[in-house]
Amino acid sequence: MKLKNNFKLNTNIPASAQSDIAFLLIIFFIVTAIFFERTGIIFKLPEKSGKTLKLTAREFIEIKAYNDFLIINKEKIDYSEIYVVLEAMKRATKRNIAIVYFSDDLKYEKFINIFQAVKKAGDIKISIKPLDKK
Amino acid sequence: MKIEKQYKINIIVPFVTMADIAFLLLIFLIISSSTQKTPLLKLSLPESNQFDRIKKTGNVEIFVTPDNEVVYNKKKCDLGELRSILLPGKQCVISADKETDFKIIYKIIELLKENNYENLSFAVKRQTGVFSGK
Repeated sequence: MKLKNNFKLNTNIPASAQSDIAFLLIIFFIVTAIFFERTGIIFKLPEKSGKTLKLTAREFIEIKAYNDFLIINKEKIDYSEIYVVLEAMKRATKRNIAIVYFSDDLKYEKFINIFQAVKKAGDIKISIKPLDKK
Repeated sequence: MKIEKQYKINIIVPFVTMADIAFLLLIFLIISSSTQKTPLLKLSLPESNQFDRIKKTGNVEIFVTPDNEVVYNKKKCDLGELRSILLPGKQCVISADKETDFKIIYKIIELLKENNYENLSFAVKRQTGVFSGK
């Protein structure tokens, strides 16, 4: 008697599923591309030919920036308090111009902390100067 | 008695899927090439919870390393060289390490003002949670 093996092994890869995988990967790439988006604090620079304002001490908020602390209008504060102090000072004095004098060794990160507080307080124009040119 | 093996293995490679794979590879290469602009620079950007999205096109990019080295157009240069090679533009993005001295950034800002730049973005890393100035 002759025995026959009649079952067939189907080794084809299901091609119809490939398009689904491709589609899912495209969605993944699109989503991750949004996560890679760059963020920054944006400021408008003054015009080169812009006029210089002459201000009295009562018209602006004076910030002296050091690596360990800040002096805002002669009041020594910590970096963690900057937003609260700036916001309170802006409300109380109605001043919306801040002049930041920075120390020679000030780190960029510290200045970004001041920038974000100024940005958060809103509607404050900022001028930057080195402390030794005060 | 002789038993015959009759099942056959189909060894055809499904060419239908090759187009999908090629397409996926193409997408991957496009995305990876556009996200890695400066692969040699390892910058630790400062964190901020106040940020805007930086436009991907039309920006002049300046990088500053923690050693206060300025990188422009993938070349290291000092501020004097930067003054001579800086292309005219409207908006500039400064990506600096948080340990960079701010006086270098200040000099770049002055240079940008001289060259009539209008907008300046300080690249930052998104900070999650409540405001915490360091």
